[in-house]
Amino acid sequence: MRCMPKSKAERRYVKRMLVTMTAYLVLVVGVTWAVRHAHVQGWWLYVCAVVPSIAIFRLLHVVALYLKEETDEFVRQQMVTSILWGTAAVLGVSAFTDFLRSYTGKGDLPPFTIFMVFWMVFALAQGIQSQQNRVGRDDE
Amino acid sequence: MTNRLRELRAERGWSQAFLAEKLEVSRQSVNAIETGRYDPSLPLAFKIARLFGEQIEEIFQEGE
Repeated sequence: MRCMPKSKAERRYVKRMLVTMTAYLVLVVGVTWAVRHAHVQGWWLYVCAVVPSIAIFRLLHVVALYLKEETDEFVRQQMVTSILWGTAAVLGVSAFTDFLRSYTGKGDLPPFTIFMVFWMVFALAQGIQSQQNRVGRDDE
Repeated sequence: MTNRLRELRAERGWSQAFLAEKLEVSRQSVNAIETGRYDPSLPLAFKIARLFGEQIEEIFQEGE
């Protein structure tokens, strides 16, 4: 992490992320419980699949809001770079598995792998850039 | 691009944190501009020029 006060936009981003992730966990646990124990059937299963996905869209919306609100263009550029790394990883992995599936009939990824890949690579890119741009002691 | 940001800041005895506050950016940004790892946008370059009372081209020059 950078050793400096966070911007207002960054503080809002962290707060929104925490709220959204909490909502996501509650929705996933709740919906999974409902599907397994309340015998949800038919088109309700589609509704159950949509509900936690809304939290995922909100997650991306939170990132978009941060990019809109962050006034520090250098910090914003780092975020965009990380998103591009995440997107590249997702497209690379999905292209590879699609080819593998069409050539061998194998290559199905476990559920949510793509989602995890995006955020892991995104976090890795953020960490690397943070290290690269770390500032030492301030000089007068 | 090269720039004289560090030199101008040193002349005034300003810290990176102080300059960052004046420019409303992070210290990380000031450091990245000073070390040539990041070229600021035109609005930020104008802001820097205004702050130091110089023309943009007197602070930022083409080349490595």
